Amino acid sequence: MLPPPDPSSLLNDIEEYAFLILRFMFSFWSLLISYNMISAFTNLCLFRRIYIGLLRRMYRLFGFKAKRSVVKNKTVRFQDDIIDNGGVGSTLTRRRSNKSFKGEFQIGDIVDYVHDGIEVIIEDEVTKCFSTEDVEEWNLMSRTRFKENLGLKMELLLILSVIFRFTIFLLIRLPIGIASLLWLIITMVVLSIIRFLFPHSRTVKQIERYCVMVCSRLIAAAFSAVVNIQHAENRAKLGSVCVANHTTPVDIIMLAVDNCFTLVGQRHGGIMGVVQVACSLAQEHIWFERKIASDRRMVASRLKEFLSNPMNNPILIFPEGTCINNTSVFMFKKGCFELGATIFPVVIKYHREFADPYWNSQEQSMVTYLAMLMTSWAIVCDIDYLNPTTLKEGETAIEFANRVKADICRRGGLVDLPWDGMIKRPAGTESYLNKLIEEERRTYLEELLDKEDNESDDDEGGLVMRANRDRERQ
Amino acid sequence: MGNSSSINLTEEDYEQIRAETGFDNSQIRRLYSRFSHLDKRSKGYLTRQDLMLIPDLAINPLGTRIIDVFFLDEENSSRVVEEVNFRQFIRTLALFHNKNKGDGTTSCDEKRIEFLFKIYDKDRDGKLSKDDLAHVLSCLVGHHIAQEQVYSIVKRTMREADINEDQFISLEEFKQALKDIDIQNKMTFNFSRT
Repeated sequence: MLPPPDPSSLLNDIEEYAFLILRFMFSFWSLLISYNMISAFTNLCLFRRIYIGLLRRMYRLFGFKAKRSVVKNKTVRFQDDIIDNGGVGSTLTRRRSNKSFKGEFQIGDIVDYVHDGIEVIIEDEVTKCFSTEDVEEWNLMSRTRFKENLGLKMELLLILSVIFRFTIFLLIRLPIGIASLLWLIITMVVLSIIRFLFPHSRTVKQIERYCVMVCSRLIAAAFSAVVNIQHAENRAKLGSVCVANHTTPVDIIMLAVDNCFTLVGQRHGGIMGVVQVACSLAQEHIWFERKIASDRRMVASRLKEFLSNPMNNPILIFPEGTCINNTSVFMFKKGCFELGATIFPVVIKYHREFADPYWNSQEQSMVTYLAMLMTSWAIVCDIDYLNPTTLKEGETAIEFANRVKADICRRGGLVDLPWDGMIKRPAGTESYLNKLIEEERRTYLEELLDKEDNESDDDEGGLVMRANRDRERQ
Repeated sequence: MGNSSSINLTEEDYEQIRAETGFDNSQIRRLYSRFSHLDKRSKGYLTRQDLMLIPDLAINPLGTRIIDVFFLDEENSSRVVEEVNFRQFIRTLALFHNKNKGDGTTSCDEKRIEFLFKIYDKDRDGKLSKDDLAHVLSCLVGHHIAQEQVYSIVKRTMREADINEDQFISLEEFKQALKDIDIQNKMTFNFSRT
């Protein structure tokens, strides 16, 4: 007769197995983190590249070919006079300008305005840039909206893909993410001590640059990020300014994999705030509060002071000032183009089929956004360094900014839009929108006045003068 | 995610909208996704404010007038509604569908002209007074021209269009004034994704 099962021995067994699994996980994680350390120090990411290759193969296998986003070389042109008054302007003015008028104010004059108004109700370029772009091929993630109904097979694949993505997220990315954050903080503390001891040593400076790059490579590993660098010879040099199009805060990590920057940006709270404080321990960064005018003035003088030392790290600036969904580029603010430094433009293009990198700061918190990225397939991005450029003779800062922006759009196949990125946050944009509507009105008025001129009615003479005076005042 | 439409259209909805508007399924789907996108808080209807958030519309001098016409009661166009649901939204847009020949092209163009008429008709009394025209003109020119000059310009426009000289422009006179404009061409849109 068998003895009755002893409950305490069963518990012992469970505990033993749990301990075994834990031990296995720990050795797995230490192996994983040491591998990632090595890959971060050498900047080789063998496994990740194999993984991306496998993903591409999978897309092909299931008929969702991982097509590179089609290059749309569409540019919404500025009117020349609009560039003069601050780079604002709209597509409306451009479209209507060559219209022929037949006389004074006609009943039919409104047709064009109504046409444009209804057109933008049906679809408009601008709000589209603030939302996730629809993917053309479904990439086995439920969050990319796909319109057609899925068959049973696809539903099964979707479930498998969810299980797979959340497993690699929990077992691989999260541990790397936590480890890399800790590593970043340790590095920064150690570096700040070394800097305190040898404040002017060049070697220390180089070691520092290298260590910071290792940190960002580790963080990049937590997203399975693969960064393809093109035209590496144009990498931003010391004592210069690097400008790029902006899609997500992760842009910074992608760029920092290959170079070490001084960052300029909005001060954040939460997890971003911790990282910002950590980074400021060992390196000089410029954080400011966008809404405070004295802060903005401080930034300009700090930047000038910073650029006066040619041994300082390049400054990284996103002149759009807001995240756009990687299809278009909005107006470049002129601030960093007034400094007189060499500008190194950079195009960052994401392969959207692996993950949608756009951060909609109006809807998602930073933590939600990071979790969403980490449970996506991978981040694959192309970084293209453009030829450095400086202010030409007789060029204003605004023209310079527009030229650099046009270069970035051309190289990246992005749509060049003249709008100011601040319209992403609707509050406080009234004065900007009013300025634009006034521009529309002036266009109409000028056409109206041309007609008045032709007819030269005596009693309307005062009108022309008055309008001219208005124009001069503006 | 925030923008993905939680309530989807049923097969029945599609059928009714198809019959009502002449849009095909992919066009309806596209407009529905546009509607859900504009409906920021997923309320199921649009308010004036939602449409004003389209920057291109906000800078259109006639933007507020266009929105006002979208928010007219369908049964009784002298009344204003505060909310527009998807069915009303798509019915209004169907006016500008280029495939929409309705019962003969002329009647459709007439409806489009009526839409333009309502843009002017701010007091919704079915006829255009000097004040209606002056309001639209001051929308177009802003404060660059003084009010009395706006009226003197409008007076001349009125003189031309007001055939029976009753100081109002009726819908018939309005059609007459627009007879040289290719409404079919200017007031239709391609609703398929290009």
